[in-house]
Amino acid sequence: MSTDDRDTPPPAGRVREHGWSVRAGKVVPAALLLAAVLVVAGFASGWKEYTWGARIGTFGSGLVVLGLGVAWGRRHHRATPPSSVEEGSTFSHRGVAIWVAALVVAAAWDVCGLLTPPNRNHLTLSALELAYRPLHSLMFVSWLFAGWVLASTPLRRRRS
Amino acid sequence: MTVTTSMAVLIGSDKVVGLAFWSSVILVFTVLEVLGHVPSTRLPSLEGLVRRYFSHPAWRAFTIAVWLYVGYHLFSH
Repeated sequence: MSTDDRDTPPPAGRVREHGWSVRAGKVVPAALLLAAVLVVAGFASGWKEYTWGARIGTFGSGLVVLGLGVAWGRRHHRATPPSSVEEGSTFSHRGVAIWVAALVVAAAWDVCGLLTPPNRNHLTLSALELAYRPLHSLMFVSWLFAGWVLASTPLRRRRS
Repeated sequence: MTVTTSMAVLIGSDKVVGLAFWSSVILVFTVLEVLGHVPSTRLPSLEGLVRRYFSHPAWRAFTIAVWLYVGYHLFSH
């Protein structure tokens, strides 16, 4: 019998099983989180505007996402510090311009919607997402995702 | 006919047009986000943009406040 089994590598099957269990350990919580977000977004689409339930639900969801994002960001970025490539950000100015252009087009459309005469439908985002619950849910999920990114992305580190 | 009325006619006052537009906007941003995680495209993801342009604590706090207000305006107001 070997006195030191630590030097012997595990059988390949055991490594694959461990890989599967590690992956399942990450996929299952992510799937549960996604399901929770979709349920909350569906529930949020039924909130009536100008009610305390809508205000508390919106701010409550936002604060929960911010808290979870900060906690996850701290744990994730402490465990896996960003590489020099991530710090340097290798995307191009053209890519940034595409994002800005999409934002400008959406903002221009919204402003035009605000200028619509009273006897016509307003095509602003806020008016339409109140009229269509699936759009409301989709916007809610997008808003939560943006909050997650804002909370979980690390702040600039001071140079020592 | 005023400018705003003309623009409203041009855009179309049908709600379906508006729904199609905003659905397209969401689709565009989703595609940009997905492509931002593909290194060969050299497109930024939302996290990349936040990391580059919103990494100062005061600027990030202001952005989060704006984000909260947008949520309040869209979902409870």
